[in-house]
Amino acid sequence: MDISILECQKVTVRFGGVVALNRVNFSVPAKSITSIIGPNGAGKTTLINAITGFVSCSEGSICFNGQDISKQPSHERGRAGVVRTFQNLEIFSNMTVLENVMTGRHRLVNYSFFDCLFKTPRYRAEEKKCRQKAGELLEFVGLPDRWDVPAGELPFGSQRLLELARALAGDPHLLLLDEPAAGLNIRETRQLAQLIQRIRDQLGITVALVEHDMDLVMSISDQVTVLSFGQVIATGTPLEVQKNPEVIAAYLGGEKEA
Amino acid sequence: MNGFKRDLLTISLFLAGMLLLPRCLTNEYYVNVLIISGLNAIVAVGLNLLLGFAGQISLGHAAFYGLAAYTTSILTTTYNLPIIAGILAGIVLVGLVAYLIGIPTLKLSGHYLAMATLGFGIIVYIVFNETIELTGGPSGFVGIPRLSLFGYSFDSDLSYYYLVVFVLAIVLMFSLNLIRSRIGRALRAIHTSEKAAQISGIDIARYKLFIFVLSAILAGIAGVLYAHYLEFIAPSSFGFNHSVLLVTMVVLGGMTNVWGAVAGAFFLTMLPEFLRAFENIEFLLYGFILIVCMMFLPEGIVGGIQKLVRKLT
Repeated sequence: MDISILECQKVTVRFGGVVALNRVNFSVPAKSITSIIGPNGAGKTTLINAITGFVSCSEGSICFNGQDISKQPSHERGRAGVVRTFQNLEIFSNMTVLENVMTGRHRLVNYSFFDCLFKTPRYRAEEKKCRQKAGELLEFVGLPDRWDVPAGELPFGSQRLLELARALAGDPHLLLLDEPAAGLNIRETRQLAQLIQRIRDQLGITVALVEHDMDLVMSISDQVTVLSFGQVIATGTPLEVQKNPEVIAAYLGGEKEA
Repeated sequence: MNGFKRDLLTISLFLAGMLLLPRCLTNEYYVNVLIISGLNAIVAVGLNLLLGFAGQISLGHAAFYGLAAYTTSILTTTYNLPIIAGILAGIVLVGLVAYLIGIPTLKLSGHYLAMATLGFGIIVYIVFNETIELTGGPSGFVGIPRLSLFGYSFDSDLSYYYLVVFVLAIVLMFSLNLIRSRIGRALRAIHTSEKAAQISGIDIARYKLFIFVLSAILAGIAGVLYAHYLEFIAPSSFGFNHSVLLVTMVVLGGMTNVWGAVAGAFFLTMLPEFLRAFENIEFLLYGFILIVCMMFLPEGIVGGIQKLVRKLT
């Protein structure tokens, strides 16, 4: 638990004159469930964007498995095993449910352009393997049927699960979830909590999530990091963070020493 | 596997239909129209891979078509090179040019490819017109040898028609195979969400470049076949209007389906021939039909047929 899979040091992100993240130190212990919380506009999503390469940081380093990935483009981070979901779903609505998950496995499907032009045995074998794995993952997240339906036709809650299955399909080492419970009802949120734990326990994938639902965060997290105005104000176990006066102040909007 | 068998069946049916078609024609001139339709279909299928699947617009495909046609014409006529060498040179050159245009433009997101290809098309058109010693200028390039390959000369229109249908069938087969693979999935992913595609490990700039070059090469293949069929080419066939017509073929036929481009190409190439009887109001009718099609078939001809079939079954 002590070895960090991800280590962000002094990460600073600026949008023009606005400092969205200010020298943020953030680490994710391997095989943990780590949550990032904080008031609106604290920079939580920006942190995920910085880790996955959608915004570039002006200072600081992001080390993944001991390698600095802060200069790599997103797709290379994806191939290295840093995968995420999005707050506003980014489903491939023009593809079927199964194809969405198969696309998530892109980097692990191994055949060339000529293999697919001529449908060689290698193409068939690899596609079959990919389809099988995609099916397994859809069952794992709780979407056992309707695989041939265009993904855009699924209800919202199922699309969230589909996006999770697609993210898992690339066999990631670190899965980042950006508000996975947004728009879900209480029952769906409870199922999501179990699913996140199963992802860690059964698949051995480290999970980091940004979330507003405090019940969810406090019940599943091993470690919680609190951001406020682009700075880390607390890191610790859920219990420690809940007692921290600075955190309480940030959430209630009081003075720092209040 | 199921999809593959269905593709094989539709292609066989298509091939059989196309091979029987000339026997039903009353006028030999129509074979000529079918050949041009088939060539346009080859370009449109390539353009559809770019436009319909990867979501990138090219407004310069007629220039690729023309560049290949002029290259093989000049090499085989002025320099007396063998036809096979001219053809290969034309296709390779088009691929290379597309690659050079694609590298800087496809790294940017947005409509830069449309702008770059628009400019490229206009430049190529000017070059065809102005380099009179090389291309013959606006009055065209004459005396191109008729295609002959491996000792067989495609002298009759009918034999040329069979060749074009054969090439089109292969292009279709490969395109369908491509779409149902990791490459096809990557292209469609880029079309809907570049962010999610990147996270899946897809190098979007590389895939856009790849499909742009591939679709230019398909335009090149059609271009060399065009030159060695008509034995005469002129810049007016490769201008901006033709590029727009090609895009219209893809959109009208239906962008979500490989067959859409084929339907669009045949429809729009043959339509003016049918409208010729109306003389004065020919263009009026042409525009009217286009508007009606887009109003009632927003998903294109093939999309509309699919919807109808689903309703009936």
